[in-house]
Amino acid sequence: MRKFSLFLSMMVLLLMLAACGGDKTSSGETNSEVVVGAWGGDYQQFLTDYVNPKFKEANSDTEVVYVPSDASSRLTKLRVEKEGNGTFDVVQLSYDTIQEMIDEEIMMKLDYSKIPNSENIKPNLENPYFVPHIYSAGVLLYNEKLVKEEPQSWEVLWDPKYKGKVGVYVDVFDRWLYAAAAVEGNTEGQNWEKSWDKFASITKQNPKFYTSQEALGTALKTGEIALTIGWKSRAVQWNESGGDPIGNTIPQEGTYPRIYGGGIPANAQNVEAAYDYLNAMLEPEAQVEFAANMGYDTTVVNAEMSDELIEDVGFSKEETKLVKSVDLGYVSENYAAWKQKFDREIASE
Amino acid sequence: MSQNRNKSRFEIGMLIAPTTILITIMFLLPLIYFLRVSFNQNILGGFMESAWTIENYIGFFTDPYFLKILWNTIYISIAATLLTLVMAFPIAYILARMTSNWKGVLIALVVFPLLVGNIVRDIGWISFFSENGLVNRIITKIGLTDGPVQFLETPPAVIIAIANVVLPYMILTIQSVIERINPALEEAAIDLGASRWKVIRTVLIPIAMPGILAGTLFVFILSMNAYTTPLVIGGTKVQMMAPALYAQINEVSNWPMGSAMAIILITITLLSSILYLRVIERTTSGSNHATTTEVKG
Repeated sequence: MRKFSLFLSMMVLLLMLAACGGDKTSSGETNSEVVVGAWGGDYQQFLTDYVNPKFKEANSDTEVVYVPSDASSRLTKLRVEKEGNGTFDVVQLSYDTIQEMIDEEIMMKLDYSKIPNSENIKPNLENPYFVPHIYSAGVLLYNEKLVKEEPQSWEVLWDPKYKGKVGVYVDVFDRWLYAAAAVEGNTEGQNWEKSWDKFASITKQNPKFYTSQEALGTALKTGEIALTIGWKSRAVQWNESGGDPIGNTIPQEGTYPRIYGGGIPANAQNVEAAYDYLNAMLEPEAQVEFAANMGYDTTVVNAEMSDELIEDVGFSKEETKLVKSVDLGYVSENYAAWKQKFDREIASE
Repeated sequence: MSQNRNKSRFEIGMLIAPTTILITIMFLLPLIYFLRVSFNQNILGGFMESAWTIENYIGFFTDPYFLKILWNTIYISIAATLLTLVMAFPIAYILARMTSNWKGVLIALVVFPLLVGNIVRDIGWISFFSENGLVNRIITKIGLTDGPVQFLETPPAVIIAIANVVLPYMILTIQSVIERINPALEEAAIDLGASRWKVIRTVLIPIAMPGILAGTLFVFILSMNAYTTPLVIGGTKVQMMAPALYAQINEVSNWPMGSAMAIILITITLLSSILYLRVIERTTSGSNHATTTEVKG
């Protein structure tokens, strides 16, 4: 019993010590950490390898601490911490989820004068709350054995010639709505919904629906489907893993980017270091290395990729012109309602 | 004496306190939080607002889309449980009665699939069942069909894939029960002229019934809460509750509906489990006679 009491006392003592060490800023010490919420695995590794050295050049005495988790966990953390002190100084997310955080007034509007590298951000990727880090765009992916000529229009997805050979990856259903709107000229002025019937008519093609990228890739490589909408970077990965060759193209009507970036929560503890971290993310060398390794394109004009890299993961100047910026607020506002409609009227039919 | 007993109780209390506290914090509190959230108001295109409304529950039970998902979950779980039972019983029986050195190896083989992640197994099923998969190639080659047959995104494919995931649990549960039944009982029945099938039907199954019921309950609960398999194999056509409620939370930020769906799933699983446990209790008390016979035999 005495041993047990001793054990309990030690546990209590340890907990008290842990509690005392938890909040450095409240005890008046300098905050020498910048806490970055991001994806783990390769993502964190590439951040450590390419962004950390650039950050250290400006902040040699500040440690970068990564809190790896999936996007849902980060969103949850941001929401529950909204009223108090935040864990993250920088949070990395995709732009569609970032928009939710902006709408909920969780993010800080950035002072771009503190991010000198921001002057090089590509014009179609700018956002007042988030610094774009990497981007790709929804492209038309096709099995080159089944589709002999490179398609020029999104309309090919509705071509009866490919009935039964069209695949929809459900995570990018909004890209399909955009494609339908682009074909009918409804992408300008937030009129995507006018083309809902066009989108829904895809069911006449007897499309196959996929809930994972892996299943979509297998279907495309084996000829189960001939056409789909997906990410350019995936086409490169799938081509490397064998099977039928997969082509990719941005149709003439254009597409819109999928951007991953970083921002500062309004309740961040180390705002100055956070700005330096965002600036480091935009350093040209870090940009090229990170984007190339992740299979995405760079977001600043002074980070030049080799022709080979552009062919694999980036977008040429002509292609970049077809990547149009959209009002993410409009997409975010309508996303849930569109998803409900898509689930009920299209995917489960 | 009484002081010693009190002291011993205190020590036992202290021993179980950490686990109790941990379970309360890690399991009960989140559950209570979800219950509370399920009464909040969802804002379409935004996040939830604090409220006390039952509209999420009403919305669930009046929407044919959600009701179909609930129905899928229940009948697929029952079918997967029955299929698992039919597959598991012979294997469990052979394992239980086996005396050779290979028994350990076979048990390891039964357990082995549990070491492989669900997603890996499900991707295996995709290459098996897809249009260009093994099954379609075979049936097309031998001329059973002209074109590929759709197996994926159909209830039978989901049932088979779930049964594959939960099979080891059923085998091990039934095997442990059969092992405790004295083989002399079966030998006596055979000596008295009963066929092997009659022995299984009238001697073995009745005595093993508590184990069978426990195994089926366990497998049913696992099937009701299956996530990866219905997501990957069922896709958008055969949806089940766990992936659907996660989609509400993760994809459209509708926490109140996702929470309400979680509470509905837990409640239905809990109620069916309680009902089933009552059946097990009755069966167990009914088989006391057989157990006595077993001891004497």
